[in-house]
Amino acid sequence: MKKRAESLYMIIVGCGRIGSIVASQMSASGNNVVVIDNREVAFDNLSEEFTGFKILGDATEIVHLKETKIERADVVLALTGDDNTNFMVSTVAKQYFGVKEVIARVNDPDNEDIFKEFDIEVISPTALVAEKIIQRVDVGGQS
Amino acid sequence: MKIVIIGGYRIAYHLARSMISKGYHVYVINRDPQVCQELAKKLSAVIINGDGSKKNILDQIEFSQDDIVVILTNTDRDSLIISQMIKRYYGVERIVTLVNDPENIEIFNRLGVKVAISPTSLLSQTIQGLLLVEEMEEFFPVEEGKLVFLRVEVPDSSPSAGKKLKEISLPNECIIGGILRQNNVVIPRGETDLLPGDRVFIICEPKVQTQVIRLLVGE
Repeated sequence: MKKRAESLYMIIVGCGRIGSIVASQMSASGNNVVVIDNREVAFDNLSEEFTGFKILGDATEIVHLKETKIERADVVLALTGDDNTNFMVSTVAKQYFGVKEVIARVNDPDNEDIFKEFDIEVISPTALVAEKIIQRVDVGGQS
Repeated sequence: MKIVIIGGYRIAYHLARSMISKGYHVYVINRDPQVCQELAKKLSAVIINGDGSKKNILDQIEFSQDDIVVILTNTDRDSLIISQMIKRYYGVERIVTLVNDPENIEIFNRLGVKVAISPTSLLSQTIQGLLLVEEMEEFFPVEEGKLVFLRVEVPDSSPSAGKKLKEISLPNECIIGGILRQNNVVIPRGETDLLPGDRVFIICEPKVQTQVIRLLVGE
């Protein structure tokens, strides 16, 4: 992600393997981070440097999203392992709460189009990993 | 034109059966193989086994723009992405979806799904209606409860019995649309008398329903 001068108000949905790393680092680098997950144990994944807020709840229930003060967020990151959850959170953030920057983890490459239709920035772990592997194997190839 | 039912089990079955009996072509998508087998045995419909929120499954149906799609999954996140894929990829506009969390109705509406039905809110509105008064014969919220249709019987003890309609200080957010008097329909005017035994049909905003009932029925 681009470097920014001021600290951002950031909502991170999903505190699993990926979400917890992002949340910990974003918090450590001075951003205001709220992380939401419906499994309490997920918060154990956060590092000690995490100083943000943790909200226990299902982010596809709008009451829980409202708890995060999502309408004031600069960035919303939907990082759960479930594309349908990430889609709902992202579209609600974008269309309902008017969040400018929404980034979603999209696990199934077939789903990327529908996210892009809604102007949601897509991160595809599948494509990223595949790309890395290809780069490794095919040293002379283009990326 | 065909009717495509995605997800659901019992409701999917009964809905499909009723639509087939009316002569429609029905397609069912369900991700549970056992449900699919059962439906295939009982229904003369095209049954597709797979996750309806995946494009490669949806692609198996040749959608046309005048199709009707009914989404009955039990999680709103699945229903939402399905509804948006159907709209964007195939241009289908007539989408009906079941919503589990009543608060999500507005989200579906805002994302272009005009008919989002929440059984939870339907049930709770109906229960509220039952709780109102005995004279309440019908209580029918429309437009997600923004408007209520009521039918009440005017008892002898009604504070308004024997009065002309224009003498009853009904709130502005309500209108009396018709009166049924001994099986005859009376179209009400300001001069019409309200008599005990009249069945009154009212359309009003929910915020005044209690006030209206109090005026016509009494405490």
